[in-house]
Amino acid sequence: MMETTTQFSWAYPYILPTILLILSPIIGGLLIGIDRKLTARLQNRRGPPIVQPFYDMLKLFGKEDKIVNRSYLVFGSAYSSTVVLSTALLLFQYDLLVVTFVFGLSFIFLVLAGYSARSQFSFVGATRELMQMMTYEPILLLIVFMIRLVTGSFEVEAIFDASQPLLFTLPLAFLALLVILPIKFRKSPFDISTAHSEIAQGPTIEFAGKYLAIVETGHFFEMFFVLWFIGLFYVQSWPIRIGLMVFAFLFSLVVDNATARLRVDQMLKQVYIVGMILLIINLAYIIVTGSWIV
Amino acid sequence: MSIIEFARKKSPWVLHVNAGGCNGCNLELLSCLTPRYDVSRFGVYNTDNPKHADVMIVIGPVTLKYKEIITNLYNQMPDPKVVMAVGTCTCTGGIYQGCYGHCGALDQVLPVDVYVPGCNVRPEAIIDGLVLALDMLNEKERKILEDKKAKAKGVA
Repeated sequence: MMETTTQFSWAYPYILPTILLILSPIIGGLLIGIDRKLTARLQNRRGPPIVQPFYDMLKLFGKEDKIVNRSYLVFGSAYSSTVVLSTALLLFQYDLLVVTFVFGLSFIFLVLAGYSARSQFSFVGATRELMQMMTYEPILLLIVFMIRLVTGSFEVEAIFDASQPLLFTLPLAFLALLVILPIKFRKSPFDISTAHSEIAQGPTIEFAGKYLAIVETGHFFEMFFVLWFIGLFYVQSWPIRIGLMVFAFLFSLVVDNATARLRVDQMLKQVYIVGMILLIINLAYIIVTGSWIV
Repeated sequence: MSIIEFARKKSPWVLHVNAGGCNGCNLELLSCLTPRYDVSRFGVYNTDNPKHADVMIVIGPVTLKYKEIITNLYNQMPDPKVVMAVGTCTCTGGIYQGCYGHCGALDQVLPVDVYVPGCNVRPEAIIDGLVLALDMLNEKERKILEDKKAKAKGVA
């Protein structure tokens, strides 16, 4: 008995990430379903059932796929697979910088998918997606660099070894993450790229049938990825970690229902100004309290 | 019933087209989405994109200018698809019958599956028509598959 435990003890750190990676599309889909239900309840409606996103996926797999050309299908599938890859890298505690860049790469693939289909809506959507990326990527990268300053390493393991939770050393960076959260969830006020009923879903307009289902599944993974990233800010206790994730999800939902869509230039100005001020104040806080590890 | 057929019944995505009506039925259709008649509880989602849609809801008698656009929209929708004619003008031509600028009724242009009469239509009638259309989606898909099988046999 003793021998078997030692024999497989190397596998223990991999069990939880593997289970979570398998469950993450289900969790992401359920989160989108809960979001639709709660939005309906806030508007005094009944709303669709919580499992509605899965019904949509299954239905899309049963539909004919009208293919325009091959390149946008390749880029669409590349988008989903890079999102899955970045989720896996984050769950298996790889280098945080690499995780962020792979996640950014998934957005690039979506933009390329938008540009490779010949449709004005698709072009406009892809351009807006690129502008959104320009907005959130510097702030996300600066947050990652500040995590490096506090923990002394880009490895996710260093966050677990840190003396105090990231939330205490980087409280304002957490707020900056909340500011860019609606961009990554593609929710109001920053649902500019997929503007529903304005440019009809933006980059995903030409996708149909099972290829649309593949892109949408990538979105499920994205939901889970972003929330798990937020959970890193308090890894010391599980209840607070999950509480942070739930708080971020509910925050994005309330903001989604309370605000209207902004223009691209408004988003660029507001997010840059608010995010950069928060990050600079937090940098000053790190330097003053001396929690800077070189 | 397979799992995909079950899912198809649960999530009809709707494309809303106004082909030159008086806007009365438009407002009735939009009131279906409001809290009183909330059709989204059946999984209905207003897509505005023919490539994602299952059900095409057409309102108004088809004007000659709109004839080409509406056939284009219909051809862009992936199978299985269902066309609903909503309102008296769309079903028969209504008060526009015999006018010079119209095709008369929607079935002169596209194959129509469900007719929902009324001037204006009641939102309840639209929901009723949608339920009929959902049953038709699965029938259509089965028919398409059978045709494919027959074609494959004919070739072999």
